[in-house]
Amino acid sequence: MSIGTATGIRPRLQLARIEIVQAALAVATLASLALWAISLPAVDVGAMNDLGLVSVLTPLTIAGYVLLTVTFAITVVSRPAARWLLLLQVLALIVMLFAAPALLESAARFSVSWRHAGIIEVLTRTGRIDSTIDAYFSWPGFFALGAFVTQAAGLSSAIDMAPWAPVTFNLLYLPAVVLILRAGTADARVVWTGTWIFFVGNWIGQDYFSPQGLAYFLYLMIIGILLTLFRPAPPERGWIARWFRPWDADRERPKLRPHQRAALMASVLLLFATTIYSHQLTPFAVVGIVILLVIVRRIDATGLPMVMLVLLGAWLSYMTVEYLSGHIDALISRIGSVDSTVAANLTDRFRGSSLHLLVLGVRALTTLMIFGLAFVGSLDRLVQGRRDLTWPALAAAPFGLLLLQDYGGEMLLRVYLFSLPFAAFLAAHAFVSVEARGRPRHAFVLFGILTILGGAFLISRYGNERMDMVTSTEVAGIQQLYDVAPPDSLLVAVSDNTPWKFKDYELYHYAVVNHEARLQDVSAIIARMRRDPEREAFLVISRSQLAALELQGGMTPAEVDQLIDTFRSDPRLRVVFANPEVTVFSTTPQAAS
Amino acid sequence: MNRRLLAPAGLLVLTGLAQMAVLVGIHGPARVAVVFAFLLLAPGWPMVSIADPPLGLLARLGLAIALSISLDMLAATGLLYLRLWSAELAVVVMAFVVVVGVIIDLPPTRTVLLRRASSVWSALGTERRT
Repeated sequence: MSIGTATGIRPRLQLARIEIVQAALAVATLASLALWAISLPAVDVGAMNDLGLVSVLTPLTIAGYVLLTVTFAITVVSRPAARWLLLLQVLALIVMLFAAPALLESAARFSVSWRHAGIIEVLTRTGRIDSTIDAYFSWPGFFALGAFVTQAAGLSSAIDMAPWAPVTFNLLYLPAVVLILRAGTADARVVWTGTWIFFVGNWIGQDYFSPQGLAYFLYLMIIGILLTLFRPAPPERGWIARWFRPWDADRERPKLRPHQRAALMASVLLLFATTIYSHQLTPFAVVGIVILLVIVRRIDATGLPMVMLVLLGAWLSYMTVEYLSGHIDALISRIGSVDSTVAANLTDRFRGSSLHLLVLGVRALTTLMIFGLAFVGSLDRLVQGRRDLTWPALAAAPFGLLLLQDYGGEMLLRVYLFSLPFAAFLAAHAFVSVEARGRPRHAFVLFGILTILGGAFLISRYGNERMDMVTSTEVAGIQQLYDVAPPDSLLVAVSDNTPWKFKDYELYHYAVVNHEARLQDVSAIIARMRRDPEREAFLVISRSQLAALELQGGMTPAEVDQLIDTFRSDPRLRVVFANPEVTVFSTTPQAAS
Repeated sequence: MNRRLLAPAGLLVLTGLAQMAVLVGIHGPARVAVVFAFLLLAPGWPMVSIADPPLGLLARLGLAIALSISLDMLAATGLLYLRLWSAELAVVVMAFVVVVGVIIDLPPTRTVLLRRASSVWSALGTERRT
């Protein structure tokens, strides 16, 4: 009797201890979120320097991030792994990483978001897609959806949704990333550490109110579904069996009935079709990954790449003619120019103020750190006898996109994003090997590296915040520009980092005179304004443009002030509107002479 | 109520509320919440339920949202290309999609359709063998 009682009490005590620890970790998680939230009102975004948002965060805000990282590291190494707690912590992380600007800033950040809201405004106003306007209208899916949601929800403008787009998109990425990572391992530590690394590694900021932000969710979901549910029996012989053998090759595969398989394949094709008409690049990334999965026999839908290519080809051939007919030569000429692509993506970007160069350095180091950890994780898997090169191959596959073109100097960023879930998976393995040498040390190493990555995220992600931030005063000034300038006018800015084009997108002409501004060549700017003497022209100078000139254009604050003074004193220009953050100039009759 | 019918009933209620909010022209946060919930979840959920993939709740939810977004986008883009654009019409189209999905997913319809599908499948298999 006494033995029975003792054996019954011990597990109960153990269970109670686990529950107490988990409850304490849950409280600590909520406390970190509370710390972060109560610290935000003290953050003065107007005082930011070229280091970005991190330069104005308070110690309390940083303490919130650190506390969350500590609780996560402890939860991951605890036994048994409390999945609900890990999920709660990752949700808290997403909110803390991506919601800060929406809560701190007075208007939707990032000038491109305003342009996207303007395209949606065209669709709601005209009720049709005119692909002659520009390339956006040849891939209109995201904007059509934006028009639908804006009007159905009764919003005054699509821009109302923009501040919360990063949080929303990252919440959407969560189930897809977990699905992908679970296809590679049953180890919850790897899944959740990889998920955490994915979010702190997602510094490139493509999750703003944009087609690529949404298309990336579909990219992740397609890969997750295919990897999880369309697995063939692994081959027994040959190089694929030797080097691409799945971790669970001996376990039973999910059995799908014909109708389930048909419905899921239809779902995958629907998701893929959605990427085709909403974003130029994402479908190519999907096709590349799917071809790789077919080659290494990780999916049994061998005909899928062909169907995808036919769908993609059909859209490009019939629905993007307006765009391609004018750009086909330029697009083809850039295929294979890897050297110019790398130059446009790397060397050309390393310029600006000294603090901005520091931000660029941190970005490069963060990226190298994640790929370095992924390399260590890959080696560790090989050492442990897991000869499955599928994941390193998946992480490497998006680099093939560099052969296509430079994508406006952004291809390397996109490649990084497409390979991030697989790199995060491999990087998480690097930690698991450390755990074999002792749990406390594992928690310490994990906490250390995740804290470094978290800090690097805040610098990398929000390093441009001084120019990415948009204020309500600035928006009011640009609104005033549209009130003053009649349709068909030419609107000129010294940087394309301007929150404009949010209304009557197709009714105005736009020009950016960044090069002339950096040379302080006011005459060239006026000549550009007067190129068509019949058309009214307005020069708009805004706070975010000037921040961009300093941050990326390499101009000093004194040079920027001098440029503004030159504009103000030039008799060929007159001020038609000014508020503390926006000045609008038009030309005087003297300019014509 | 049968637990199997809870989700379809919930979807139909959500669809009704969204229709009412948009077609009657209610304004404010309630409309925003109802319309977002409807557009993000309702069109895709019956598809996931029909496919019934062996996935956890989180993944099912993610797939339902991805499918809902795809269907919403398809409807909106289609109406814009056809020059029939109206958000009200788009909401009605999506409500139709939800109702059809829910009907297909109801146990009696589902049984009949599955029986038909499997007989077609076996017929196809026989044809291929011969």
